[in-house]
Amino acid sequence: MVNLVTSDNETFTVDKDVAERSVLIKNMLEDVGESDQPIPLPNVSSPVLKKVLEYCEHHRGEPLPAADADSNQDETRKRSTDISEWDQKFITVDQEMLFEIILAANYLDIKPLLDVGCKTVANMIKGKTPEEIRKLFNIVNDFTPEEEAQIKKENEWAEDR
Amino acid sequence: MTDPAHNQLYGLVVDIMRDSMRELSSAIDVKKAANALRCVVDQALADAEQSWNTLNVWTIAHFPPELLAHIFSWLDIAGRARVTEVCREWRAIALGEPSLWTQITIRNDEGIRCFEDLLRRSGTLCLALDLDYRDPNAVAPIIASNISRIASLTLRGICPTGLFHGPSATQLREFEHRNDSELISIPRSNWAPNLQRLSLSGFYVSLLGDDRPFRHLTHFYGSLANSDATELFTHCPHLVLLHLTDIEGLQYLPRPPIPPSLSTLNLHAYANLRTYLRAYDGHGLQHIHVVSNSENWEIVPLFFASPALPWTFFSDVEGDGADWGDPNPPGLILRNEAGMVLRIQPAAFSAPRTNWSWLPPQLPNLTSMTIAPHQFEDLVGQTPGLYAPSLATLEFIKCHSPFDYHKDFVPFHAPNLRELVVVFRVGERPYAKVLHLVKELRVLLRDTLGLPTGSVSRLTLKNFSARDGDVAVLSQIAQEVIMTDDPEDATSP
Repeated sequence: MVNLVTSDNETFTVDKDVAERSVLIKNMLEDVGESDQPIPLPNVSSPVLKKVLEYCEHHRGEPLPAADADSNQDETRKRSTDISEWDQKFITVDQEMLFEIILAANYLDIKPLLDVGCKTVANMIKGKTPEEIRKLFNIVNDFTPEEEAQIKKENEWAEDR
Repeated sequence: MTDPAHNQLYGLVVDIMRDSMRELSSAIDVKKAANALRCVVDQALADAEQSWNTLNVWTIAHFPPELLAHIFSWLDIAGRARVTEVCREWRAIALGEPSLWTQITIRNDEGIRCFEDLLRRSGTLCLALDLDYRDPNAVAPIIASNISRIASLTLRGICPTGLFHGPSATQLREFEHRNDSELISIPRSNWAPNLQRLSLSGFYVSLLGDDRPFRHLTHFYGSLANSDATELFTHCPHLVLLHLTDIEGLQYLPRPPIPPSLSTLNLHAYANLRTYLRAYDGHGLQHIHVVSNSENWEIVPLFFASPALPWTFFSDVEGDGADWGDPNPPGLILRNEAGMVLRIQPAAFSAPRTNWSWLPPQLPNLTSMTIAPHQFEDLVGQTPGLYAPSLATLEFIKCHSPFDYHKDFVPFHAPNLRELVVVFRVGERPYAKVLHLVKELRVLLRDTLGLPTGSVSRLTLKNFSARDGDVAVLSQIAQEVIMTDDPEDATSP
């Protein structure tokens, strides 16, 4: 078993093979060797870690992606944003939690979870106008009207696809 | 803005202006000073707006650039372009990541006009281009100048003249040309020496010129002259899939020997199929798909005679497929004992009803059969009698009403049939009809298939729309009915 301590000082005790879905934790455990020392996760709060561990628990035993999977992936290959049914249900959370899961997956180095989160955000962006995207994510339009007109013209080809 | 803040800002602006005016001599200078102050305020407001996108920690804008770039990577090219319009930060991230601009799909002339700018964003990375255009001259020079880094190229307009004689496409792995009306020469292997997938939808002249076919080719889709297809077999040791289309007349089947790497052979063929297909038997192919018409049903007996041949046979005869309400109707599916499948889509069963004369009366390898009731009626109504000693499972699909059972059905001897599956038509609610249908099946099993009552020990009902509890009860009753003699059977149909 492995003890994980969150930023709000809560301790989670989990099976090693569940914790090792995180490459960060896996590497830490390898560096430390056999030890009862708890692993501090200062960038992850307890509600977020609970969600992350739920994901790791469900996917335990599945093969981990190779470390160089990304560099091996042909950049010219089309990427699918399909998400499995369970993952879809898992990631149906409010926007704040979704972003925190993505940041946690990035920090903990859990590539499949990171992809699920990023695909979900990409799916939210798909088919929306820039104004709708700003509204969705609470982003300010900081272009001048002239810049905005120029970029819009530049992207005319991408309209109505 | 709150009142105190408003008053404070107002006071500040007035003070700055008064201080400035003390040093000014003319009214024009005052105007200039006011404009300068306005510019400073506008700039300050713009900077403050921008800082929202980086300071507000609970928005997506707080994500590190590499994470945002990763999110953008799941968008298509139009989505990636659209995120450059959202805010300055997103624009900088998207434009600063060349890998986001390597897959370019363009479907309109506006896109072709921006094509070169889009390519510039990808830096020197390999490209996958999918281009639809009206004017080949508009794309030709741009393709030519980037040809050395194109890994995948799909052209949906007229192929630019001279493309295959220009600079070499050393990185090209996939080339697809989709323009049915065009007759062009196909690419030469010295133009794209590393090509693995070649897909050509138009009418093409010889694959061969002075050079040999592509040595690294694994997949070919298109039509070929007979000699070229055979050349592919000879010179492409890595060929996995050969998909030949639109071969009228068919002297155009590649001659064996087939390269050991080939696992799938897809053929559109209209005549003389039998001649060469027989020769493929035993060559280790995993899939042979034949799209043909009813004239070629003569090859079906081969399926039963050659259990090693992995047939899939589709008919292209226009027919009543649409009436089935299923975009991919299963039609007649026959599996032989090697697990191979012969599938005939119901499009073949257009009026006049099917002629089943092609089916051999002895079906020794047949282990399971999937068929619609009306096809089964034709089958046993038109053949002189069938014998399928290995048939263990009979599946009736698209059932929606009781059989139109005739006493004069010829015998279809299936002495080892043990399982009956009834798949109802999607959307049917045949609750009231089920027991009637099962009773008729019982008669059919006894009279046509020559089976004593009780020998079929398993009956499965599928696609049955009713409440779950009702389905379970009814399935149980149906199972009992199919296994029990009923004196009334003798008088029914």
